[in-house]
Amino acid sequence: MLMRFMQRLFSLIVTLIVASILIFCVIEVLPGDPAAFMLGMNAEPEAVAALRAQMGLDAGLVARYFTWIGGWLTGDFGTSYTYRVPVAELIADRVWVSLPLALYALGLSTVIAFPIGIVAAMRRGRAADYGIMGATQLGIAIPNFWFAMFLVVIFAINLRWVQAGGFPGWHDPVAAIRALTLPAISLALPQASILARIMRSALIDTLDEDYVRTARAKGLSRSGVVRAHALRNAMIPVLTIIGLQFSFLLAGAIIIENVFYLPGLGRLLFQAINQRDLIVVESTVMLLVMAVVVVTFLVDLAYAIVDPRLRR
Amino acid sequence: MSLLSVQGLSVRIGALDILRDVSFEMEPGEVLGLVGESGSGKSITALGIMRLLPEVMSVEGAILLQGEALDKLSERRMCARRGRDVGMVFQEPMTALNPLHTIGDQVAETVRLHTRTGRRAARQRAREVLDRVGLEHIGLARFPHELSGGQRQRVVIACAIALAPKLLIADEPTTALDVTTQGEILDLLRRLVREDGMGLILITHDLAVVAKMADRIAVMQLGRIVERGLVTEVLHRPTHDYTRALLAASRHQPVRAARAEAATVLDVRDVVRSYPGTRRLLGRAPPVEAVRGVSFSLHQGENLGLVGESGSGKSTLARALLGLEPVQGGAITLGGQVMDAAAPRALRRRIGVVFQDPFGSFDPRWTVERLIAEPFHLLDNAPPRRPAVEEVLRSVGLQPRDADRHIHAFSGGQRQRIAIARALIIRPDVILLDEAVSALDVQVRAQILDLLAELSARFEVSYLFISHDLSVVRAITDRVMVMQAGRIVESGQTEAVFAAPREAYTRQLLAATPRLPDGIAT
Repeated sequence: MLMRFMQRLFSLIVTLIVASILIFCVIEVLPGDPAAFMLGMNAEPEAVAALRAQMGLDAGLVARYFTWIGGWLTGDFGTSYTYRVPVAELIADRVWVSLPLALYALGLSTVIAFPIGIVAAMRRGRAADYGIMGATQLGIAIPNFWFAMFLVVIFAINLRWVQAGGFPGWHDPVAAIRALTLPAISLALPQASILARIMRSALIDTLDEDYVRTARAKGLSRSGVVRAHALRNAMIPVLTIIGLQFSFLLAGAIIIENVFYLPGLGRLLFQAINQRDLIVVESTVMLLVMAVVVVTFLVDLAYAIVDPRLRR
Repeated sequence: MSLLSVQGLSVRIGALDILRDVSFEMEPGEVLGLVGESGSGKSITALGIMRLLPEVMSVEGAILLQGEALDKLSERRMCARRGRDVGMVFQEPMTALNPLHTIGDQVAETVRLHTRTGRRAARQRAREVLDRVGLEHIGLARFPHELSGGQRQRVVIACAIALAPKLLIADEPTTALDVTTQGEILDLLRRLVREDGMGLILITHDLAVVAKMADRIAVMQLGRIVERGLVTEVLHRPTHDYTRALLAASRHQPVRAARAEAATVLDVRDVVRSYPGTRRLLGRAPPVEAVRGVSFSLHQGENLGLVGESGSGKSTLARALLGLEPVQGGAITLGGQVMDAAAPRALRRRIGVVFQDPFGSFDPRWTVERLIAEPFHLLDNAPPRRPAVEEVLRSVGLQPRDADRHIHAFSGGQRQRIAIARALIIRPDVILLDEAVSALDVQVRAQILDLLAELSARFEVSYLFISHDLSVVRAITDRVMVMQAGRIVESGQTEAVFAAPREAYTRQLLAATPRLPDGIAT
């Protein structure tokens, strides 16, 4: 177990280093000079050069990479070119929207997907199964921004239960959660549909296993077998998908954030790219990569908790 | 009152009869051997008694366990009977246990399901039961993957007998195990029956196992019981043709012509195959030597047997002979050329292989023509495909038109014929048969052995026949080698080795092999 942990930790660190170099290089080759962009079309070359020096853009590539990484290690991500505030502050504000939203959506997706996936698997080939499979097909097919607008029309405009958009901040937790509810539902719908289908097929596979028959021969009922034996065995593919979905939800909510005017990481990234605020882009992308890598690491550890054969 | 009374059990899927009017009685403490080929309805009968048949099957008939009608019970009450009054053991020990739970929990589960026992007391009970099935040295916290096949089968048996059921059903409990482990498991089952006085239904396709274990026998064919009675009577004086055919097939000996001494085609000298040890935090564990200095030679047209229990290195040696893996010492020469992982195609075509599981070794989407002609890629000038395939299909006793069908349309025996055709089509010098008849029913096995003998004589092809089934090896080979822990511990003329084994290990293997009693009618 320790061996596995150390191996995974090592590969996590290597992945992060490689990713940081890649991100840095890609940002470097992007067209558009931030200094020129900030000073406008008619700026004097001397002024641009002076600004470049001030921003540290004239130092060598390697030196700038280490300045950036050094800053990361000490929590100093630099200062945004356009907003003139520390990048760390900008990102921190946005993380407090995106992270709860991702967790909220993932929680909803799991809570919906597990029971319907289990019911579909246990009633395989019957009406309930066909109904659930049809519904999940629809859930995957509907574009989530369209579904989001549909929710806004019903719950914000007609019923007036929630605001149509915006985020009030966490000083009023109830209002904050209300503001995140419709976005979370719109994000969760396709995710829950996918997860339910994975749950169903993984469970159907395990229900065909010999040990399920052994358990039935011991006197377990059909549902008892699912609870005691099949469910945990079906968890490996389900955990994989949950890990992928979390990473996606953290960064992939750009469209939904735009529909609901949420100040999340996705919108921050989108605006920063438009404004050539490359220092913000760099650090946001790095943060998202970190989230993905860390979640993968956690999912890997979760495999070992589920399956003793992986504890070596 | 009898222990179990099955009356007119019939099972149907749609219009298809799977089981027709099966009836039998059992007394407490009795062992009933249920025999027949695959598809004859043995397992369906067992699952029918357990009421664990798939819901698509419609079931009729009465099942009385000590007078109580199991067929009338609600599913909930039936759950309370399974595991408590009737236990069941299955064929495949490698997959019969939940890989995620400890063996202690899996045995304790039976106890906790049916009795008001606390966690601790249930574990205590699990310990006692595991001790009883001969796993005193195995901790409760071990997981199935840490145990061997034989040990896992003991755990499955422990789960089934934890509450001392009145009836135990064992469905081919030793078919997947090698001969020594089979002997141990059969001894264990017999001891448990004697000690607890429970009834045992032993399902098997192996008449020798029934002869060793059972008091009475029921022979099944096409969903019916065609003959039943005391084992001694039925085996000595079978009345039904099918029983006679099964007995004949069980002791079938293919006719093989005597051979003159011929040239060596395959020569193996001091071959060592070792695997690097598992990775540790720093460095590695010491390497594992699966084959430790094996030497032998195979002559043209010769049938050489290689026997040994699982883990003895037989299959590792086979992969090395096929040039699929590098060797760490010694040399393999095939027709004078060195065979290794880098061997050219022209050399690879001189050795073919047939595996145990014919279905798993075929692509289900390919036609038989394409499957059989697959080794043509080893030839520089392949002959026209269709005529070659048709000819080889005829050689293995199939029809030329079978070339257009897909593999799922064939029975197990026919699939093995197709596998032999695939090996034969490029006329190799050597065919390696790795447990090639182990998965087949006795009658089909007898036919395949005849076919192999005929092909060997006709094409002068040599066989290396790898098997854990000693009776088959005895029937088909000229010489035999006994492998133990990576070494060949004994070799010689097959009859001489079987009649007077020199090594203790060989004697042990022979003693563990169930045999039909002498003097029975065939």
